[in-house]
Amino acid sequence: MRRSVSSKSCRAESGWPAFAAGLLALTLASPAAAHSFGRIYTLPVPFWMYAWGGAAALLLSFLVVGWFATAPAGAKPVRSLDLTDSRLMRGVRRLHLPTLLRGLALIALLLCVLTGYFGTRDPYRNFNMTFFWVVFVLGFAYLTALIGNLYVLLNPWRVLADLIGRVWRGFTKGRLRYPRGLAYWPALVLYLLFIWVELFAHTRPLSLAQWLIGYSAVNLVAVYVFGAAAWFRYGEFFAVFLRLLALMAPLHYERDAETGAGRLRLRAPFTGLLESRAESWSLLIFILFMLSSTAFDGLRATVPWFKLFWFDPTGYLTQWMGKPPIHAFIELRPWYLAYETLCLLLSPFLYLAIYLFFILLTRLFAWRQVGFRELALGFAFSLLPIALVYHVTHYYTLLLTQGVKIVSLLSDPFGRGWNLFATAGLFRAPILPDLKWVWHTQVALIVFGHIVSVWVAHVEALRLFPTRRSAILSQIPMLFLMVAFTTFGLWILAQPIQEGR
Amino acid sequence: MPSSAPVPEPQRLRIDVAPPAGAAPAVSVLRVQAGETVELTVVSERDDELHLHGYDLTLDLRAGEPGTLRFVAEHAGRFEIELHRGHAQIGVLEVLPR
Repeated sequence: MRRSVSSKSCRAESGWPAFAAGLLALTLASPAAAHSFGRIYTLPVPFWMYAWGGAAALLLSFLVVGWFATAPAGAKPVRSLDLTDSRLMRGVRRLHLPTLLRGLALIALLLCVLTGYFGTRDPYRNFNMTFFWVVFVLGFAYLTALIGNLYVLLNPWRVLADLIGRVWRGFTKGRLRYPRGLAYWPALVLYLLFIWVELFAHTRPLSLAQWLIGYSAVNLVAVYVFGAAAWFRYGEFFAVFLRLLALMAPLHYERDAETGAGRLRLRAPFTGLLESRAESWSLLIFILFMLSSTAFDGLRATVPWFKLFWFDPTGYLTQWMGKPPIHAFIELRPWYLAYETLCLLLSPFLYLAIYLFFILLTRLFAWRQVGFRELALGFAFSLLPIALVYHVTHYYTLLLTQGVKIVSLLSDPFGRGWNLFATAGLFRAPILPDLKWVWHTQVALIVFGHIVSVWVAHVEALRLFPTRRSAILSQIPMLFLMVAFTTFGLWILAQPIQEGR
Repeated sequence: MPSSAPVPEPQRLRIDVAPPAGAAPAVSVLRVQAGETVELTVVSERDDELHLHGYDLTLDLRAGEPGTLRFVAEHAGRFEIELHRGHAQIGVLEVLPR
């Protein structure tokens, strides 16, 4: 049995780093929070595993390239199977399952607000924190990537708008035509705000309820102005976020905007990414923010990020202030929040700059046969698998440590010792999978998502470029872009975590 | 016959939590190997509840009196030690996998 020296020695850290971290813990992050709610218990991925993951991503990418270089057929149309009139779906309709789910979604939203106002103030014993931050934001998002865009059916804000529309005729029709130029910008702005709230607002049950009321109000006003069809396509950011994730699902649910009739298709996983293309810059930036927000959340908990500001490696800050920033911790705290907010808001645009640089190279490598905009938007969806696995690897353990507690919280949503459904005693203890297993799934998922992204980009290239030769050549820069994103994602997972965060 | 195998010494960590007005103490870190016994002692200046996340162990603390949690660190990971009132993080337990 191997025993390192450090494991035998029990130590309390001392010196400035620990002092700063202690201050952080007691002042800045007093609601001790990594992510918005719930604690991530995993340790950084060991360096050797990070190195292997990176190498595997690179090697497998070249195998994909090689396969495409010699594959016999060109791009095939995506095949799918219509399930709309299958026996299963007829049964689902007979049970009025969609109506039932819509009702449940609205009840869940109302319950989150009510428990916020009238339930316990302890975030771990209140239904709304676990339900919203873990079950909905994480669990439902991953479910969407598996079984398709159920949200289009049970969006609680849409249900609410439709209900209002029943008594107030024409409410959901809208007063103004949705301006074309607005595209997905409202969704992007709301997404930025959402991530800011998630990372910096330190929501508690009551403030979460208030944010939810605010978001509901924004949605209802927007529906009144632009109409439900346009707003839930372009503006409501959960709708946009989940629709993008659903492109990867093997089940595809569509609702006709005019008649409301639904259609369900079965297709190969991830082929939905090839069925359509991003239609505006705003959607491309939205996708890049899916990547950059997760990376930012991971990065800001690490030691290197913490040191970058507080230990002032360039020395400029010390020179300007006359003392090292860590000595001015209290004065600098609001500035640190402003600095981190700015970094968060700029992150998608930094990613955009990197992405567009590689798109430029892609275009050069393929002798400029295709327009810049067409390329930039054409490859946008190919980034989604990387974005999804980034997200899953960062947060999925929260589903096991905190998400399972929803079973007991359902019986006691207000935290008053109730036992409504006799489940109050179930799954009280968090599930803590073996750490080695967690590390392996994290690295394997990142490599898997990377390979899918490379594959999707290649199929897209074969469609965009007139010749196979230019398509293959175009993918050399894209490959490096994706390896860069993937290695960065792995690097963050392998960084030591700053105490107090 | 139960043999008198040597009982390994537990890994000990003691945290003294000063009142918020005083000097801020450091976030203490205890690193152990999975399977080791941990003895966590906390002294708080006021009545509070000690909570070790993940293991979900809690202990009521009386002001000024040391309270001790003793357990076997079976799960590997990084677990926050906090005082429930005010949700202040006072330490971290890092359990390395075997």
